[in-house]
Amino acid sequence: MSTPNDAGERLHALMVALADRQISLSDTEVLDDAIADGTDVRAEAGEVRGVLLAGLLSAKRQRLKDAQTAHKEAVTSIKATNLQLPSGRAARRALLASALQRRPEVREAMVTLQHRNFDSLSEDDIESALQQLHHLGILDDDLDREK
Amino acid sequence: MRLGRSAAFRARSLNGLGLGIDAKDLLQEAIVRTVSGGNATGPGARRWRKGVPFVKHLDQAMRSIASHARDALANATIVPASQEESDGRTDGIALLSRIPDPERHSAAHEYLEKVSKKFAEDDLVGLVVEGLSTGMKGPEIQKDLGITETQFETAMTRLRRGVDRKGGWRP
Repeated sequence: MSTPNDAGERLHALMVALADRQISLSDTEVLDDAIADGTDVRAEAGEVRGVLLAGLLSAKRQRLKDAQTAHKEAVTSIKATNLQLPSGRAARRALLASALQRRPEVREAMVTLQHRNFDSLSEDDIESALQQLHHLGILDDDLDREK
Repeated sequence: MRLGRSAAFRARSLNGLGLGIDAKDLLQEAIVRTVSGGNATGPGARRWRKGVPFVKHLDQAMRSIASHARDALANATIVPASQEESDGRTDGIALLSRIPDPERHSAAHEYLEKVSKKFAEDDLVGLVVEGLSTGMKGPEIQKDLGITETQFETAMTRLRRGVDRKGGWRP
């Protein structure tokens, strides 16, 4: 493939040389070229713009997909954590209350005003909150104290 | 316009090596890498540097994608995927379709023949084409042919316009 006689290699070299010069052409040269080969400048500019927009949309979709995948992985990882929680309903609520009381900044981030006394949180919500705290590495002390 | 034509030339340059990619795919890949890789530092990331015009940045991105693909192919670190298997990305690196060697040779030969016929009566452009296609740069060609920079630039303009009719934005 790399022999000088290879037509593909020669075409490659010729096209690279033309491409490298294309971007440094003046506006006048670009327009003169278009006039010379009868190009509809507006139509071609529109096509290029369309490709750029499609690329932007594609990139946005990919970022969204990546974020969704990362979120799913994080949730799976949190759920898979082997966490020994107190078995009783009241004990779990007490553990969460104690953990959050000692860390007001986490409490603010995790619990909205309407759930301050935890009464309106379901058992699943409590367990999920405890798992998240454990995943963040800030529940260990409270668990130790519980024991 | 600049981007569209640069994309067409670069895509055709890759076609010459047997990589089936068209101008739109190449340009789209450049913008995807710019948007996706703005904060990344991996091999596929294309950060848009301050002070660089966006059109120039995208051209450099296409150049880099093409160069990377060429090197990877030369080092046999990639095997271009078939059209059905490919996801259209070049960093993976599944480069769209592979043009079989006989077809690649024949298409490249045919294209060069057309360029040659087009400039059959323009000796200077014919010689410039010969020089560029063997990898010579402008100053080397000027020296070799004993022409001035202006004569070379004029020949390049005739070449560019001649080639554009045959292989512009729509390769």
